[in-house]
Formats: sequence, C-alpha cells, structure tokens
Amino acid sequence: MKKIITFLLLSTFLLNPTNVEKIEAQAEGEVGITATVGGCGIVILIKPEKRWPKEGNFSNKNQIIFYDQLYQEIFRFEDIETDKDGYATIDVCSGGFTTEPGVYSIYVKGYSHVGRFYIEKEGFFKYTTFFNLAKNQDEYLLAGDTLVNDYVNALDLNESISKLYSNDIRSDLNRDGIVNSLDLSNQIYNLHRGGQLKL
Amino acid sequence: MNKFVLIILGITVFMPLRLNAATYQMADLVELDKSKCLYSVSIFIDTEGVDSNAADLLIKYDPNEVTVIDVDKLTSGVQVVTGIAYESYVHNQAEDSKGIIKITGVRFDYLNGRELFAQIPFVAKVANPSIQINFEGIDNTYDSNVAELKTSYDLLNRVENIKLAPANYKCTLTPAQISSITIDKSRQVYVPTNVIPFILLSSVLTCISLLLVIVFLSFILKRRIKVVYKNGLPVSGVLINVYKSEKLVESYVSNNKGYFWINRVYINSSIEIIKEGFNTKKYENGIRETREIVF
Repeated sequence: MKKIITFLLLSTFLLNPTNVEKIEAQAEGEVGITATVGGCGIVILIKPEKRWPKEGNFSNKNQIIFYDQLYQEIFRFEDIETDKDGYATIDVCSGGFTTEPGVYSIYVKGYSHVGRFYIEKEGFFKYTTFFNLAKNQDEYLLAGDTLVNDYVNALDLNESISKLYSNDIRSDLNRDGIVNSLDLSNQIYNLHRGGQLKL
Repeated sequence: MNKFVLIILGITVFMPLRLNAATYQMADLVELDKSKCLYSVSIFIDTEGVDSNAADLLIKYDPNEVTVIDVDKLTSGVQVVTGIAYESYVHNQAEDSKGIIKITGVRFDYLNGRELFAQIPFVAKVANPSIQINFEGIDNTYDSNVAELKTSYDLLNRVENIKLAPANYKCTLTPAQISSITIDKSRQVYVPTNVIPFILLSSVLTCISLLLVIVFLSFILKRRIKVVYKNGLPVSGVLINVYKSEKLVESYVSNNKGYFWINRVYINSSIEIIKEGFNTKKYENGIRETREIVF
C-alpha cells in the first residue's frame, strides 16, 4: 500500500513541471505525505474592443470566473480592474482559494461588455500564471451591454441615447470621455449579441 | 509594365488615406423670407466611399448674430430640420446659451455616399453671421464625428463652411419680432432645390423603364388573337379552348372587339375556336403568332 502511494505521488510529481510548489508535512513518528498545489498568482490580460485612443486605454472593470474541464465553477472574482494596458493581477490564495495545475476555461464579463468564454487555458503550473486573453483583436470584449444583462438590444441603445453628450462611463464604450455617435455605432454594430456563457 | 507599377504604387499610397475620410459640407444658402431675415443652410455628409452607421454634427454659432428657428414645436427646446442621411436622429438640440447645435443620427444598415444631414433655418441678425461646423482635428472625438461601421472610429477629416453673407444685408427686426418667428412646415426645405430636377428626371426615367418592362413582359408572355367575320367586323362571344395532351387547360371568351389574349405557355398546345352557328376551327399545333381568325 505504501509503495502504491509513493508511486502515485512520485508519478504526479514527475508529470508536472518542476516549478510546482511542493508542500511536505511530516510530524515526528508519522508517515510522510507529499501534496502538490498550484500557484497563487494570476496576471491576466483583457482588452475591450474599439477604444479611443487605440493604445493605453484598455482599463476596465471585469467579472472573471474560472471553470475546470468539466465546466464546474472553481472560483470567481468580481470587479477586477485592469490597468490602461489591460493587465490585472489577482492573488487567488488570498481569497481563500486553492489551485491545481491544469487546464481551465475562463469567462470574462466587462463593465459594459457581453461575456466572453476563453477555453483551454493552461495555468497554475508556476507560482504566477499569465493568462493572455487578448492575443488578437478577435479576442477583445464586445461592447454595448450598458444595462448589464449580458445582451445588447434596444434597451441598451435607449440607455446610451439617454446619456448622449454626457461622460457616463457605462455608455462611454470607447472611453474617450464623452458619449456620442462613436459609442452608438459600436453598440448598433453589436446589436443582438449576447454573452457566451452557456453551460 | 511601368503603368502597372504606378497603379500598384498609387493604390498602396492612397489606400490608407481613404480609411480616414469623411466630410461635412455646408451648402445651399436659401433665403426663406427676406422680410423676416430668414435663411436656411444645408449640411451634407460625404463618407467618401466608407460605410458609416452613426454621426454627430456639432455646429457652433454666435447667438448675438444668429437665432436658430425651431421646426418642431411639439418637442421641448429648439430643433433643426434633419435630413435623410441617417435613419433616425436620436439627438437634435440647439443650445442657444452655449451657441451650439448638436445633432446625432444613426442607421441600422449603413450610409455610403453623400446625403443631406441637416438644414439649419436661422434669422441672420447681421451680415456674415457666424455659423460653423465644429471640427477640432482628425483625432478629436469631442467635435463632429462620422463613425465607421466596423471599427466605430471617427472618419471625419475635413469640413467645408461657407460664407453666409447676403449682399448689402441689413436686418431691422427687433428681438421681440425675431422671437415670434415660426417656420411653416411647408416652408421647410427638406430637399435642396438644385437636386429637384434630378429627382424629377430620375422619377420619369424610372416610370418609363417600368412601362417598357411591362410592355416587354406582356409581349413575351402573351399572344393576341383576333376573331372577325369575313366582312372584318369583330366577333364577340367566341370561345377558345386550349388543350394540352388532350386535356382542357384553359378557356377564353373574346371581348366585344373580338380579341383574346392567350398565354404564351400554351402556344404549342392544341387550340379549339368555337362560335355557335359556325364550324369549329382547330389548330393542332397551337397559334405561334399574333393573328386574325376569320369566320
């Protein structure tokens, strides 16, 4: 039995990269147990579409949910703010979560954006994992959900029209500081687009 | 070969320029009522080959020199005349305290080309009053904008203002008289007058084209048969039966001028022409041409 446990632990250790943290607990006179846990740090890159100016203007507030390969929710984070370049840092462990190295799906919903699902993202093999969810413009978050129901329709359009020429941050989709035709154009282009979370 | 290289170079050089190109043009100053110092100026939008689904037009004016006339008494504030460039004008307000008119139009398809965006009816209190399209620069999004359909970036790169200076102009109206001026719906100039002949011409051409199509279709789809007596008088009440594979498919009765119109699809069928008191005439291979049948 002891041999089997040792074999399983050894194989788990060998299959994973060496950067994985190894925690050993051994009390005097007891059998030693070795467990593997993933890293705690996440650096994530998320970019919303059609910002003006085009560069250095990607800050946003996001809801981020991690799912395992069976699409079971592992952990979620609300109001994660990305910086002007689209980066956010999260300490998973400080939120009371533990991680395991593996493959995850990540759902991201921006402040006035419909949710987007990013699948097959490997993570937590190192202490800090970088999730790049903005490799190209096709991965950017789609804007227009000003009523935050994860769908862009006439109600959202009506909301934005009522905020025209104001600086309402929810309707100012391109974050140029004013709600105008450029934001309506973006919203109309995304009419009847909804979030991708269908589990 | 050299030409080919030049064309390729031309495309390469000018393609990026076309990506950011749209204009607002002020044109067609119309004197609506001289006694009331009342004028109207049109603003056209030209997307210069790019698709647009939304636009803002900001016009700055000096309230001391210009009074913008409200064209929609049912809506609060002062509204100007909107054009046909966009499907819906979701914002249309003249703010006299700030001397600015803001108009926003949207489309659920897209605009590609030159269209009338708006018309501003105004009382010119002085000669050469100040009314100008607000454009602060290519990358400025706080001024007038023309949104590109797919990127939603501002395409506007140029505006054309005109001088609003009627010759020997003098307006003697008092502020009270000016504030009482209203504009009759029928006086609102939705279509610039210089476009009317083209619209009329295109309507006439469209009608003629439609007529020709109808005549052509009638010609190719129908054949006329006229039935007359030997003396040339038309025979009414004649029955024509059309058979296809010995099966009766259609019957026609001649009108009082002796005409039938039969479908061309039956010209290869057997046709039987019956008139009481006369021998029935049979055409086994149908009737291929418009013709006269004499009893």
